[in-house]
Amino acid sequence: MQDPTKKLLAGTGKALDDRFGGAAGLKKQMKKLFPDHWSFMLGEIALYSFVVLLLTGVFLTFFFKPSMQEVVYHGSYANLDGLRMSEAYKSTIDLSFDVRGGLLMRQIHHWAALLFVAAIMVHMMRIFFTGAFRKPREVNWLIGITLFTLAMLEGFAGYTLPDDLLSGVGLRIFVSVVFEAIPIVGTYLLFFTFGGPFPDGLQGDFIPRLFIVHVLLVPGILLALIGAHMLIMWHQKHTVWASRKQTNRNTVGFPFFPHFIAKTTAFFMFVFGALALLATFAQINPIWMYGPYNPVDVTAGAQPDWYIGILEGGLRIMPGVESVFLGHTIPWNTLIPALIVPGLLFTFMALYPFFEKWATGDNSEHHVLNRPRNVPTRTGIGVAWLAAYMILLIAGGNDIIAKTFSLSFNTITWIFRFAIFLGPVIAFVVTKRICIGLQRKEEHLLHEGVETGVIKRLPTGGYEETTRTPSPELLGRLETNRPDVPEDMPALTDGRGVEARNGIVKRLRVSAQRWYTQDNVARGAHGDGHAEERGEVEPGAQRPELTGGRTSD
Amino acid sequence: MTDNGQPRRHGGTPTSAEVAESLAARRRAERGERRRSPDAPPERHLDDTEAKRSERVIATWFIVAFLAGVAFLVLYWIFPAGGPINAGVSNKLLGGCLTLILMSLAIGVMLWVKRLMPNKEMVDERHEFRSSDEDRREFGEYFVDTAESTQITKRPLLRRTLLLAAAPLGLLPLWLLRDMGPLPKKDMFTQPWRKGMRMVLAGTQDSDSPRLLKLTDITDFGSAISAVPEGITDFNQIATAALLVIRLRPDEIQGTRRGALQRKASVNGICAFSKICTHAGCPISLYQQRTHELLCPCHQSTFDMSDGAKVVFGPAVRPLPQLPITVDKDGYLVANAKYFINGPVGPSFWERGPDRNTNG
Ligand code: HEM
Ligand code: FES
Repeated sequence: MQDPTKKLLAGTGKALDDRFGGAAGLKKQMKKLFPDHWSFMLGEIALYSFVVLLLTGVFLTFFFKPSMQEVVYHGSYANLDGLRMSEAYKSTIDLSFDVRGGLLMRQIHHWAALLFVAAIMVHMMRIFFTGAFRKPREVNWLIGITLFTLAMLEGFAGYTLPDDLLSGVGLRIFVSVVFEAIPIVGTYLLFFTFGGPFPDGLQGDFIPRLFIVHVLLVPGILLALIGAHMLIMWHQKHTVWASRKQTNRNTVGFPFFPHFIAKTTAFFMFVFGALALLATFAQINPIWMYGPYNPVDVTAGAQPDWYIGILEGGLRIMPGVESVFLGHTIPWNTLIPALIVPGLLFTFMALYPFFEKWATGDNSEHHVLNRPRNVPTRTGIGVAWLAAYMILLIAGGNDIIAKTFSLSFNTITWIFRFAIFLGPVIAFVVTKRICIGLQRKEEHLLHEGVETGVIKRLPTGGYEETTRTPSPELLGRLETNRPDVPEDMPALTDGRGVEARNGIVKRLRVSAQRWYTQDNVARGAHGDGHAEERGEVEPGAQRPELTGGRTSD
Repeated sequence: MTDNGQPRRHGGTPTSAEVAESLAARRRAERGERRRSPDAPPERHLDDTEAKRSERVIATWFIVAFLAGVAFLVLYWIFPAGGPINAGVSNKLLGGCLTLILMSLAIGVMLWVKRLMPNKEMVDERHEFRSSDEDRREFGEYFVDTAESTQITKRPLLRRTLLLAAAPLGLLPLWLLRDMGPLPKKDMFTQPWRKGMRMVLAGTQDSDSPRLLKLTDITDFGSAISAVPEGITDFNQIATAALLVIRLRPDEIQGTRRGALQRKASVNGICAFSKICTHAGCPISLYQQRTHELLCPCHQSTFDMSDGAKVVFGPAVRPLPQLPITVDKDGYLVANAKYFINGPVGPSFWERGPDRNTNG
């Protein structure tokens, strides 16, 4: 205890524990293990971009004026001199050009917003494809989907704040397709939300309200949900990748203190540093080039931020359909691509874990991640979803594609109209095929060993390729995570034989279960040593340990 | 989905191996030990010279971060902001320093972790979350007993009046939000054009000398000019009033029913259409004289301006509404009605209903 640093640390610890207690609990938390795998850093990227957004966002609020009051510009940017503009626009120009570090903070903020949403999405894909959403982690999955949705909303609100021509046109579209398109209550929602018609409302309320949504309402909810997300993750612990050392009953990794805390701090610095680097050299959203918003002008070839692309794409490829009935209009051409399709895509994702649980009858706790190939149906569904998302996103850039490939809008639009239906189906089929192919390859590997390329002449005169046994890591990975075959699946009863009552649902469920497993490649006897166990059980027979009231119903 | 090669057990009994391992783990835990991961990389044994060298490397990165930090503080004062050039320079310098600070710190700490911190991969037990049947039962019983002890189950009047009390409270926020905006009333149908109103070149309406459009101003057959009503500067009104004025040769307007209407509403081949796209409300801008097609830059809806602005391509459904115009005695272009043909202007909404000539 001679070292002053040690003394200081120990002293602080003692003083805190004297007052609050908790050393015992904290000791345990400090030792909590964190697995070491790059895919676990995707969520961290999202978290740290959010922290960067909070830090830079607070800086921006000191200079940004959320007001639609009209002013005449006589500032340091000569090209805009004498122009009328809103205070919001002027203050954003001022904070970019006249505040030291202002442009830097603004650009970091914007880059961080793009990264935030992207990281959430990739993180979500990792969770989906590895089955990390399964019991007991469904709640965190739902929180995640909510965060994704709110992040899009938050980004859009922020993007609109500077009141420049580009974002103003974006807001105009948003107001039409999200508010006005809604049957019955649309215009009322619009008038209540923004205090009157586009673009100013009656009292210039558009920007002030978007501002409070952007800096208080949504960030507050995001913060609370991210907090819950982290607490739940902490409590439930990370999932683990399949390997010999990692099972459903253990966690393997490095302790929170000092290893993980040091590493993750470095990672935060790295994410922040990368964003600072982008903001230094890559200009983003140069609103002074777009000019202030006015309802008459438009910037040609404008693109929204990437995460709005799916709405944009849908709006572009949707055929013009609208119905008028009993004197009322339903604009399907905006309602479907802006609200119904994204609504279905996100709702589907949110409910997927519950669907899978219903379909497979698997209601047990899972901590070991699936290898995507071992669950081809789920993987196929995920890739189909991604295909739909990507096709809409790319369709949002159809003018760029038209220019690049010298195609007519007509051709491109029709290509996308077909693609949005065929693409996901093809993606599903192809993905499933590939997964099953990979399963075969692994089954072969377990059977025959790794091919060495060395051909041996047999005494009988024939030839044979020599093989060697796979490495222990590979074997471990193969053995510990194998595809389910129908016989593995729990019988779909509730253990009380009530299933006969609802015939159709039951039959649907049985075929859904088969859909998930029937194409999988069964492991041979040498594979995992459980084959005989499986062999004893007839498909669909009552297996007492699989039923007994713990299946999901 | 079978994790770890074990047959699925739904909360069933653990295997004997698992029981043994779990007991061993408990004993280790009691002794305050934990198990090292079996095939973890060998533990690092720091030798002193190597540790010294690592310390120097890491410290170098921290010093880089320090120097970059000092540079940031100094450069902030040396390079003023003010205008795009200064801001650009300041941005590069400050951003460069910030990047360097953060990246050097990241590298330094990472090296610290990699080279000096213990690299012991550990294993902990994981327990099923489900509590034991006994705990669950006890909890349930406690909860129900306690709830019953409050008498809530026995006194329906209490229960019902409590719910009754809560109901209006739940609606209260909705009531409080009522004054966030006016009712739409006829606002979605109104627009400011009145018969005889002159046109101003868009963009000049709030300058000291707004440019009024005369018949003789529109000589060009290829141009598309944006116009707004004279005396109107309010954005809400301009957003519904904005016009796109084009000129066609008389024989270019088609002989269809739409074409006939279009011709009637025009003067000398000059036609004034709403500039607000009927799809999602973008101001339309790209006019091609050769094909008479007007393209909306937002989602590529295309309107045939020689046939009553009917939609020929894209997601829009309805033609652009047209404002009937004429010339007054001084040669100014003026509105010839207080409504748009095929109005109201802009995108569709629930109350809109069929096309009608309205001004509210
Ligand atoms: C998840 C969180 C957030 C996202 C995705 C986000 C996104 C954005 C975007 C895209 C912009 C436009 C920037 C530009 O002009 O190029 C913006 C502006 C702004 N944001 Fe955020 N933001 C977030 C959180 C915050 C927070 C927490 C604050 C403040 C407490 C904040 C304050 C501001 C302000 C004041 C502006 C307007 C100034 C400007 O445009 O430069 N933001 N935001
Ligand atoms: S707003 Fe014009 S095509 Fe969508």
